[in-house]
Amino acid sequence: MLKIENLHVEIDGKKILKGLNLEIEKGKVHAIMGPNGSGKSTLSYVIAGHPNYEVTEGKIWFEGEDITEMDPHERSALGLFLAFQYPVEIPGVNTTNFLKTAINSIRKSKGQDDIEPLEFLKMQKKKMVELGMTAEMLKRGVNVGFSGGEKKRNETFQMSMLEPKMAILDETDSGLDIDALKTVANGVNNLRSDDKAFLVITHYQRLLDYIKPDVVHILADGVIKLTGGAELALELEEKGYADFIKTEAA
Amino acid sequence: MANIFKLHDIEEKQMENLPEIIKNYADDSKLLENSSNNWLNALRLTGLEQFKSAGLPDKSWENWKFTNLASLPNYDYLPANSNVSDANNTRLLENSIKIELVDGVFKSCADFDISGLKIVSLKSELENDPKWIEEYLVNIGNLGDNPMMALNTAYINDGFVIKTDSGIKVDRPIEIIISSSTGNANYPRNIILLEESSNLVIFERYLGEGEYINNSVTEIIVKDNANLGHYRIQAEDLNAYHVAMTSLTIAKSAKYDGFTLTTGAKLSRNEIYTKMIDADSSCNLNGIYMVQAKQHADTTILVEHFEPNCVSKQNYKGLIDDHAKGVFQGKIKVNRKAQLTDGYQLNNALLLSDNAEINVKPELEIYADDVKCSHGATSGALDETGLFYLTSRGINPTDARKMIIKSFISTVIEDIEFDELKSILSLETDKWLDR
Repeated sequence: MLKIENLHVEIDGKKILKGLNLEIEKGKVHAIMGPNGSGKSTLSYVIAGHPNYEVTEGKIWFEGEDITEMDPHERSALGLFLAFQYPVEIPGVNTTNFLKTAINSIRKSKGQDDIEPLEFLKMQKKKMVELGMTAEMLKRGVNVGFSGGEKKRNETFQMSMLEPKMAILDETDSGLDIDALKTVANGVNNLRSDDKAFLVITHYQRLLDYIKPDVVHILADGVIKLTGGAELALELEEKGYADFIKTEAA
Repeated sequence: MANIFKLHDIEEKQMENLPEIIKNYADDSKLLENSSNNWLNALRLTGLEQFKSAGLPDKSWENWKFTNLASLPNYDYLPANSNVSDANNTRLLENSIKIELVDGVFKSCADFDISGLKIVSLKSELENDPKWIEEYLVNIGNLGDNPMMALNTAYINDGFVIKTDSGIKVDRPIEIIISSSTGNANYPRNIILLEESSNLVIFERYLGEGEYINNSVTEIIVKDNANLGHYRIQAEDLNAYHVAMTSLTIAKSAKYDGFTLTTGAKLSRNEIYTKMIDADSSCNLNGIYMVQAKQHADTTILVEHFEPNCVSKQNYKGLIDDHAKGVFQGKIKVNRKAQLTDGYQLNNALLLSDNAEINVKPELEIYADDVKCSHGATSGALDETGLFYLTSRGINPTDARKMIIKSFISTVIEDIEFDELKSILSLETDKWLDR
């Protein structure tokens, strides 16, 4: 589903990713773990098409299509979703209108008509309950006045509404208490299916207790240092990054 | 009837150095006919003299560093010549009492049945009941400091006069459509007086066709416990010149909620001088300016606090595109007696093109020691992170850009205390963004 080949990325002339390779198949959940500054967030931004990050070498394919040069909205229309580590506040634009605009933009790019308002409201109500969002939150400006946890819930809620083929969760666990973590994980698990894939980026193993990964990668110094099963995350938790990366490098 | 003005003999040499527009006023035949009110004749004369001796303000004037009136065209005031098409003159507010001003002349006012509310033309009030308005026309301040106000004073003739009696709560908004036509210079002089404990909402819309000058002066008095909502949309023709001076006096426990949307005019100056003359009053002087092409929009505000415990807020948002220029000069002056003043001033400008320009001059002048005053100004390009967030959700870049811009101005719209205006402003914004 997603294939990344020899990816080199710079921001403001600083090299962050240095020849990263990654392949994620349909139906799988991959986790990327790594220390601060290893390039985890850069990777998520680059897959989503952030304009400030420059791909100097390498390619990204999604469902067989080269998306390396695509704009973010085109990637979204293909079925990619990024849950932000720091969701942005948009005052004056309420979440309902924002999501309706997003859904209709994606539908339009596929040549489909706008979603029926009633169908939209039904779907919104169902997912809202599922993710512990309130009607009041949806009336407010996007993320305005939301706590850290509420923002992450809102990210998961948006993901659930947009029904992407592949979602990248960038440190979705940071700033969450255990209840919010379970709700968010539950939202993700409800979306898991044979034709969807997830890339979970996290610093800690904790989230992976609730979203069980099929594959775990360790990212350090701009490349994938090590790939293994779910047990790799536990091992990492035990030994710590420094020790781990050093051992591997030796 | 003969002109009453005795003009100074301006030496030939000196005449040559004067801008065309001022030379024009040295010509007797361009002046107004004599009024039966001697004080008015004297006042007009003072206005003219002051304008001629001061000349057009330029960079050497403290308050005119960023706005140059040198290109002001040389048009006559021709009150009899008014001819504006009625195309744009439908009301925007469903329940409003409509007033029309055409080329500076009060044309009509819809019938209404509200006792204690007076709406008349300045011209008729000068004929029928000039006594009470004399005070408000004469005591407007030092004309020598304000040549454009002096020029307007030289041409005091017509405009609107709105007055509420004590305790009158007017439940219908007044909608004033001020339209102008090409080749004219208009000098409407308006008075809004709210007597004690009265309430009123006024909505002014400025429209026009072609190149013209609209130089208006509005004297507003909000007496004790009165409440005025005063909203303006300045959508003059993009070739027009709009210089609006507002002199606002707010008395004890009174409230003024003001908002101006500026989208029109080639060059505009929206100048508001507010005096908070007694305790416990509040005022909002908010607005949005959206300018494009080579437009120039200047907002200049002075709020002066004289007595304790008053709140004043200035909150402006600017959208500046193409080669347009914005100017925001805001000053809060807190006099010695005005303890516990809460003064706030903010101007945020969004520069939508590399050639867009904003000039900001925020000032605080404080002589009291127990006050809370702040000012701030920001300018910058569209928020990249916000754009990325929206586009990453599938929203196309054009729509995302509009959403971010609407988000940028949303807070100042939310603060308006007259809900009907919010949807009108939203439509005006969409129109501007889709132009």
